[in-house]
Amino acid sequence: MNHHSDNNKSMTQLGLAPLNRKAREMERAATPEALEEVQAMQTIAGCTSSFDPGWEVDPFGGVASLCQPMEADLYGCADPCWWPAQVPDTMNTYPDWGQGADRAEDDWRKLDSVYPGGEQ
Amino acid sequence: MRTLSPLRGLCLVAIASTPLMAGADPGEQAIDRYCSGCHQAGGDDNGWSRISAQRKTPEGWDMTVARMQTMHGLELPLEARRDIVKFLADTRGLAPEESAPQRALIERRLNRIESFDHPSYQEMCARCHTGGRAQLQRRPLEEWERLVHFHVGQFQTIEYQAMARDRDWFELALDEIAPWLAETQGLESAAWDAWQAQDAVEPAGDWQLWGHWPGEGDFYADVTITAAEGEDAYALTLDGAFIDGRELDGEGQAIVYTGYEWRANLSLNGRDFRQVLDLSDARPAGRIFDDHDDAFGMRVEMAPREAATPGLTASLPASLKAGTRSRLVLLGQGLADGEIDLGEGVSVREVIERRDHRLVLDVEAAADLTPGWLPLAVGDVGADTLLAGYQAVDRLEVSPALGVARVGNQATPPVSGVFSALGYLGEGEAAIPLGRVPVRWSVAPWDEIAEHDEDAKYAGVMDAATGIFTPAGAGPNPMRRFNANSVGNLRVTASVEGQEAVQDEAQLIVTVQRWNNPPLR
Repeated sequence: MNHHSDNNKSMTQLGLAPLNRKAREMERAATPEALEEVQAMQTIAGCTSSFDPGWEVDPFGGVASLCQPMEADLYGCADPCWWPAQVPDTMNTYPDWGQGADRAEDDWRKLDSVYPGGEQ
Repeated sequence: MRTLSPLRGLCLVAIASTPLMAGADPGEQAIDRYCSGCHQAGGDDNGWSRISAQRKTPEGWDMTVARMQTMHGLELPLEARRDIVKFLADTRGLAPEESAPQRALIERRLNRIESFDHPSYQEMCARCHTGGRAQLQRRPLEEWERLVHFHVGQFQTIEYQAMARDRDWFELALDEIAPWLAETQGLESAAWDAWQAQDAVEPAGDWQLWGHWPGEGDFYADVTITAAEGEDAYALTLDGAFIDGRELDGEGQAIVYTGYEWRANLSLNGRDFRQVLDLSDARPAGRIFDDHDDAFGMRVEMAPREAATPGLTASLPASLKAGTRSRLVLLGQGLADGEIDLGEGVSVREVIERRDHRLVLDVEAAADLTPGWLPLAVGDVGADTLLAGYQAVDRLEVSPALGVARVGNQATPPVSGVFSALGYLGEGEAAIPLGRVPVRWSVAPWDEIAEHDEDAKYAGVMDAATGIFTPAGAGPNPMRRFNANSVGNLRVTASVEGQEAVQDEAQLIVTVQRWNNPPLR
């Protein structure tokens, strides 16, 4: 059974709109060959390899294709829980994370780390 | 004031109505008090539902309790959280053999690429967090399945992301990943049974410790560990020096989990660090690192000051350059008496300190020194492959090959790029390692895009002498196109001092901060 070919749907085919300009570019560029390339890629431990479009590193192993500045679309990552291991997901886990920082581009200094302190 | 959801209200009622069980251990009592409202006590496994069907590291258990606080509204005092983590790590922990493959993750060494014995585990699980995070857990099949269910419930877009929307992620996770984890990381293991039957390691006593502090140099220290108030709690003092003679002093508090997992908070020369050691080895090793800037750390080794057998264990530095005069520190046992012979061409100018476990020497390497190993002899003990001499470095190796630094601010402190350059004499398998050799560091754009975007100008500053890259500040940068962050894709180059042609390179990604920073990434 090959799950990969059975369900090789793009975001658009799944009825989802790409989140931003970069995501749209990714969607357009994603030929099967390019997808294989992306799937083969890894990054260093603890950085996400969900390269659509990538949080720390972009699908091309650099930073030029990341959303920039990141703050301009930060809640577009936090609200749909896109990189929950890096960005607090406000969908379920940290609903109040962005409270008091309505425009991340201006208010990014107010955004705190979320891991609850528990020194051992 | 936060409002309680109906579910949370029920949980609190359940907690309040649960009678305290008479467990002797404070952690056991705390679990009965704070956890057993939801996690039923008793049953076949003589524990609590879900909890007793898992084994984890202390960090793993702490993350579990933190998740109960964040996601399920659990409220408990910090002391209870500590007691719970201690009890669970002791009674439901990992044996040394089980944590061994993932020491790097526990020690927060992140600038490395993981690999796994499963064709899709990287894509299925390790694309969000390290694969090591799950590999530091032991569960039966149904608990691995519950973990899959939890992920889909909590992080619902998990199925729509790249490397998930191209497949039936949920079915694959249940049909392929969970059974593989249950098979390779089941709850029961012979290693755990054997470890539980062993006596815990007793760390109290006199030790010597050594390592390399980035930007400061090789160091050694006498470590004195004494029992402190609390279960498996210890206090430690460090009395040492860098090899150039500058003092290195420190103190700290530690707790030993699972009989061997040493976790300490240290203050070294006024800077705060965390320390992780695996005490199960006769010569415990681990890492001292900055909890906020985890790239900034030092691998350390520790040996009893009174070893059972005399011998040489370490040379700081690992090599001497011909025609130079420098300090040399030899660590070991049985070094107090006898002649000191450092090999042909190396002469001792002064014995600065001589103790049974340490020699601090002022040495001179002759200009016509023959490159190669320098056989060491101190009285009756010796070592043939501990110290090398060189005229020129043949090959240089920069590590990490790929590093990630992060811009930062007060809420999300910056993560440095910390590089080291090791020299080698000769090529191939017969090459002799020279340890750190003096180099000059620089950064340049990685490619044309990085050059066009002027990444090297905006992303931060490389210290030419130390290989430590200090990233720029967080936030949109109005100097850049589109107010881009001060990120960058850089080429790091080290070249041997006096031998500019002998170089090596690495890639440094300077990227944005992360706000979710649990101890196991």
